[in-house]
Amino acid sequence: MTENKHHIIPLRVYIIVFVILLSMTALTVITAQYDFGSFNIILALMIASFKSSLVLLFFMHLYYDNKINLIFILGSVLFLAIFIGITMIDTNQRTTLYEIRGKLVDEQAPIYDNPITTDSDH
Amino acid sequence: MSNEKTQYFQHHFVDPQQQHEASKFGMWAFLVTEVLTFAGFFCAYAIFRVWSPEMFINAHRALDVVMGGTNTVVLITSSLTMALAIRYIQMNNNKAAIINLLLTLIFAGTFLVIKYFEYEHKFHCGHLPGAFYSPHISPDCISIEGNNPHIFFSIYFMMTGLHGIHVIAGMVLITWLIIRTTKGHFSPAYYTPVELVGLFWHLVDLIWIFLFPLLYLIG
Repeated sequence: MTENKHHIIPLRVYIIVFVILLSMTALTVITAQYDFGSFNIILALMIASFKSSLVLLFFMHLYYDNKINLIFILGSVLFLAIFIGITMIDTNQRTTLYEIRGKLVDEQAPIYDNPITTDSDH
Repeated sequence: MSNEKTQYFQHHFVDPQQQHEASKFGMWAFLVTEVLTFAGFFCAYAIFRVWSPEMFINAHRALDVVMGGTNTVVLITSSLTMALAIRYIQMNNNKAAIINLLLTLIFAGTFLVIKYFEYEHKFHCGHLPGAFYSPHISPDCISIEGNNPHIFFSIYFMMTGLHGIHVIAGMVLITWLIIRTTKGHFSPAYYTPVELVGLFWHLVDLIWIFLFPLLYLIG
């Protein structure tokens, strides 16, 4: 009954994935020290996506699992992309339609004045 | 075997394999809703970062990359021990499974302790969300240039706070697993709860994998 259906992943796979995850963490910290302009965020997200793919496929067994689970989680990523993508199109393109630019609600509110306290105040 | 089987096998499933697959599918459906919950925060992050890129760069300097990086390593290691715990139960080695579950619990606790020190420093410096933002000038606090850094801290505390709540929930669930494993409830034939909590724990790790570069490594 349980033979073959519950796949036991070799220890070697877990260790290799773990080492890659740690190296990618180091890589993302190191690359953050350099400035690639707007490529910074793309590089950071590419590394994070690669790391999360490894976690999903091997730690969460999706590589060996029923593929319906993989389709499900990819669906959530798709809707995440639609959600953020369309919101970005809206908030960044409003100026082409309206005179009102997307911005903070009230830039003059008292809280925005950043009251600063010092040690002598206490 | 049939006696052991009746303890967990429910009559409305064809066989234990189907029961296991159904439970796992339900867990993935829950994880999808979790991703979409955090999607709201990631969307808020994207909006405010596009509106005030300079403010994000200035405010993120108040975060400690060493502490954040250590926490990333701690969480990835805890994911490994969680995966190994499942593997050992599959191999009918409950003792090794309990050790790995305990290690996972310890790493989760370490994560929260490091997070506590980070939060404590933010509270000390007044780097707090929204109306609570009151920067305090002293040698151990950086002063943040520019306007509106409180927005960054609102996002920082909401995202890491919700993530922290998930870590606490994961710790409760792992403790429950340790108790049940000690009582011998799991075997290679039945370990569904261990696998499902494992999935939850890996998701907590996944979210942190994105939070770390987005909050600590801007620039």
